Amino acid sequence: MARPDHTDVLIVGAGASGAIVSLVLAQHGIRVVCLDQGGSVTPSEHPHYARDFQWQRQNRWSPNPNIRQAAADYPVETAQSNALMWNAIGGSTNVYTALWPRYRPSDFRKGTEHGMAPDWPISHEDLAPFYDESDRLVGVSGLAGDPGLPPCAPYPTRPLPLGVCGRAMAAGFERLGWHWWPMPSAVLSEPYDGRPACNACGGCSSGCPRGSMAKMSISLWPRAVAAGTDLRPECRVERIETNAAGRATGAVYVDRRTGLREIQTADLVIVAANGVGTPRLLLMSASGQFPGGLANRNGVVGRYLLHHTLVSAEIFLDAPAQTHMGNAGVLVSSQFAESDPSRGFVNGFNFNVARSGHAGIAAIGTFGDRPAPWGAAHHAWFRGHFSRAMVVHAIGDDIPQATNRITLSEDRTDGDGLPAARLTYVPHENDWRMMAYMKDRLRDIAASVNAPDHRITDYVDENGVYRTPAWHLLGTCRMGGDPEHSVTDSWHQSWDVPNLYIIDGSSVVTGGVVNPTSTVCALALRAARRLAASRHATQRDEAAD
Amino acid sequence: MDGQDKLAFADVLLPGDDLFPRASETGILAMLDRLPAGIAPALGPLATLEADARVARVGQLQAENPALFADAQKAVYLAYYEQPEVIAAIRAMGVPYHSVLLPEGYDIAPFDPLIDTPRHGRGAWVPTGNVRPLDLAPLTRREV
Repeated sequence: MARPDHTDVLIVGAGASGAIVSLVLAQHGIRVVCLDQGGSVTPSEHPHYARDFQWQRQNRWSPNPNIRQAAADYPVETAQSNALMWNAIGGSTNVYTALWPRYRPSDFRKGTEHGMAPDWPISHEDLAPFYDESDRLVGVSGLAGDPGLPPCAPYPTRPLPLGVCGRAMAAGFERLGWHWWPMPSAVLSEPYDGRPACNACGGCSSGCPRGSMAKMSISLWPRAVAAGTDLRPECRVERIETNAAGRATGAVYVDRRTGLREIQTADLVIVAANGVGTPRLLLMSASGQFPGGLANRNGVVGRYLLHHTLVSAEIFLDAPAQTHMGNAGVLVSSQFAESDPSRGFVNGFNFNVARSGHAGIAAIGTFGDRPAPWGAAHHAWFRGHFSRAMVVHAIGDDIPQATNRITLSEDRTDGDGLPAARLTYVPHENDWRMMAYMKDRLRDIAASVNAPDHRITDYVDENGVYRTPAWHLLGTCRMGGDPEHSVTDSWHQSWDVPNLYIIDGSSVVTGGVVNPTSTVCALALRAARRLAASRHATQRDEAAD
Repeated sequence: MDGQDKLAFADVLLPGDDLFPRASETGILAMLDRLPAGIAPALGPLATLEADARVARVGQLQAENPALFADAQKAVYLAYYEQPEVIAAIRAMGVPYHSVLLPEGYDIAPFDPLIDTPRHGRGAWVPTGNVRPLDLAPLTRREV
């Protein structure tokens, strides 16, 4: 094994949180090495420039690693929800839609509210300044002043276009008397930070090779590398090493370009490999000293997996509305975001109102399970439905359960022989009640726009199994106020291994009612600022000595 | 499955009308290697059947093996809507439409603050200090 130079900080995972932490630490003169199992996705590798872009979305560009089966991927064994992710520099920002709403204060206080989830060890107020700073760093469009959320700073760029379809849906929410607001998105409506404004190509669901969307390999990584981060693609970490004192010493990784196993030592190790990859790595790092996996003396690593309750509707407007043109996210509604037990459940949910896809996607159905009719009826159906479909996702705060978890597969491995992840997820009774309520409210929305047709998808298969597309992989190494029930403290520092930090979606305690990347980025920025400041303090102390 | 059977299958699904071409009138055949491997033995020879019999055979396949049929249908639909003749038909509907996503993109009117800013004043949130234990009695009163 080669032994490269020792570094101050080793980061595992070059996704959104890894990019932010790398950037901040490197800007403070801290030596950072960041390893990622994937390579760089160049703009030309995106399907946007090819006629078969919709077909590619079904296979080589699928967000599901079990379908895509790229060399950098690892299998996620499951009989339930499908974990979606991208393994490359920039992580899942290579293929997300960059919706950027924020958590609300009550999301941090579910223990106080009903006790089916714990309180976070931090509050919304602790995170608020980092939301604003992260928005400026990442480049976000939006409209400040939403009465459904605490005040925030003006967004760096104006809201994205509502378009004909967005206005039609807003009118529906007005008829219902429900809250709606332009969707904040990490998609630029104006040139910003050297990147171009969105040109409304309608390809958000396959990422954005232009850089109008915050694809971190285009937006933040060049800056992090320029600041001094040693970013190493195609390096799959096999385990984190520890010494006799129980401190992390670095990581063993497979350089996938050479096939050789290498070791990188560091003063401090940060794991930022997403809500599946992070617990997988910690469990793979089991040793005689840590037989249940690293940072897992209490058995919490991998547990309390969250990915939101989700019910979706494809709602067809009564006239062509250019629904295949423009950025994905149009409106957000927090009408039902706060808990109201009179509904029969606790926690709340949001509506994300989004545009749909191009002609092929319209024909196979936005959710892939209800295609247009075949035969003589097909073409009339297409004329009456294409460019009229709006997608409304009801996204709710699921109850964290210890039995919903990531473990290691007993028999499947990735391309380097490392154990695959295994995902287990069954909704809580509260979640089922919420999803039943969501369906009724989605029907209300369809009626509010006089939709001549709509289709609701609850992601429950013929055997009653909830098999949702799980974009939001959260909660599996949650922070907390005590070492018995959490993996890290409020600053992401492992309770068990003092120089091991976990900074990604696995850190969250509850899922909120929104797409989580804005919160993951704000958490990463908060943690990175603290680490940078403490490092400076240490250096000052050493200088004084 | 030979090319004639593939085209016959695609034509049953997408027979065309006064605006849209029949599948076999496009260059779709080159994309039909995407059809699942199981489709040929499941469907049997199709091109040699009469038109009504083709439709009946495809309907039978859908009923007997819905998962295989769904995969085949998806492959045909996506291939069809890549074809230049089909894209021309979509444009003839009066809808702006490109064969590829980039580099061109589309023109959409920007957000208009006068028209698009919500004026409803609706929306609420609970400040951290005001979060209180909820009365959970309604949960237990409901049937599960």
